[in-house]
Amino acid sequence: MCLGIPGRIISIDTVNKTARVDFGEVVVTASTLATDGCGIGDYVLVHSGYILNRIDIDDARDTIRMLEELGRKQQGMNGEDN
Amino acid sequence: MVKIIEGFRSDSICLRLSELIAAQTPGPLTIMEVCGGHTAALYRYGIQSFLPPAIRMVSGPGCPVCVSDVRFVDHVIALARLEDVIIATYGDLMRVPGSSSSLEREKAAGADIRTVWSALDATALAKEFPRRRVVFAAIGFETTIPGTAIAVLEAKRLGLDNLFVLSSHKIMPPAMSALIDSGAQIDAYLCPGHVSVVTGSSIYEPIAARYHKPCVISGFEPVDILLSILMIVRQAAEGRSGVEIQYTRAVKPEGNSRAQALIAEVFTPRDDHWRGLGIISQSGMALCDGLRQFDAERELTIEIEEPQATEGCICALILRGGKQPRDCPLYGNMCTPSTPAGACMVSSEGACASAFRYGAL
Repeated sequence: MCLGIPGRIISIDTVNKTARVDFGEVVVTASTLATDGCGIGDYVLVHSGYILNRIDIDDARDTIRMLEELGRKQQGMNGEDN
Repeated sequence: MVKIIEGFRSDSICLRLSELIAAQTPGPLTIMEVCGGHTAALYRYGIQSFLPPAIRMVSGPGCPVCVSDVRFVDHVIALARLEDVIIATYGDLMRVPGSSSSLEREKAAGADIRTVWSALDATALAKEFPRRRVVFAAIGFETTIPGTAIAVLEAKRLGLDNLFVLSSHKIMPPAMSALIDSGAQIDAYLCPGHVSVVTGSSIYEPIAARYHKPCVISGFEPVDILLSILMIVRQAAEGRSGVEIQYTRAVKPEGNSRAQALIAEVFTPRDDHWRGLGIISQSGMALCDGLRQFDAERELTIEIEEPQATEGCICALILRGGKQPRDCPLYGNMCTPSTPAGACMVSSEGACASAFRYGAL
């Protein structure tokens, strides 16, 4: 139920208020009625047939970059300790 | 996106976060997750093995199928037995045991029960079968409520008079408060990610402020969960109890305003039964008076059997975080995913089903 899944919008039907969302191995049609401002190319969360919102890809990249940096700093500190 | 997801599953980052959590944990901490997606992820990725013994993760009432009261299941079953009724529901509900039957058994006996992917599919069924009454058995939290709202508004727009919603929709914060009020030993909440996509973060502020419990809204990948636990540990170590968002790529503080408006237009809060927790004030969502023609409870009155508990089943205690799945005498023998005796063994998000699938017997 709560397993909202991220996929990428590949087309939008403005008449029927739906979008085709690509999940890599499967493409589904989801309603755009529960959210504002999604466009083609956006990564979105789809839950129970509805797009719930956009996924901020830049934010995701920043989080991973920050965590990788944290790991590198620690490795450096460990190296100095040795 | 695949590359980014890989980053959130990185072994090295998980191990680094594990070290930081171990180094900064100030003492024993019991953290409750209140999202079925988190329960499944915790077991799937073996998150507990990354944590020091001082941190205990317990599952709460976050699986919508699991918390739906047996009265609701019995009610759906009773409606399914009416000759002209089509029941539309999410697949998870099919095998949940009622007092004496399940939707799966009723379907095998000839009832017209259809699983749907979206609430709008129920509206489409009502349009396709104008001489039948279509009842959408609506379960789920803030993530699924907007979808039901849209289905009702669409039925109204189309002038359909044969769609009915039997609502077991629930909202999360009253249950989180009720658990603490009832004396459950919880030091912090790992807050649901996709509920928060809709609601935003402010719904947890009263819990953090009133009960002094750190609340962190988490994503669903292992790095997300470990980073969220680290954020909780840091709050605990610093004596803080605030609401923080780890899942920033999806959750904004203000949430999804359109979805919130849809909920407010169609639903109104009411007291509701939760499996394991009893009646919680203003925790359920009923259709508002202006849309009562779509309300199955008000429009389709029917006799429902007296609710019966499953002997030996401890779902009620598991949903309160008081017991673990393996504490149950039925777990793994009388109760398995293929023959569930309790609701927590049905859904893939249930604590028992996750423990059975990913943990040792």
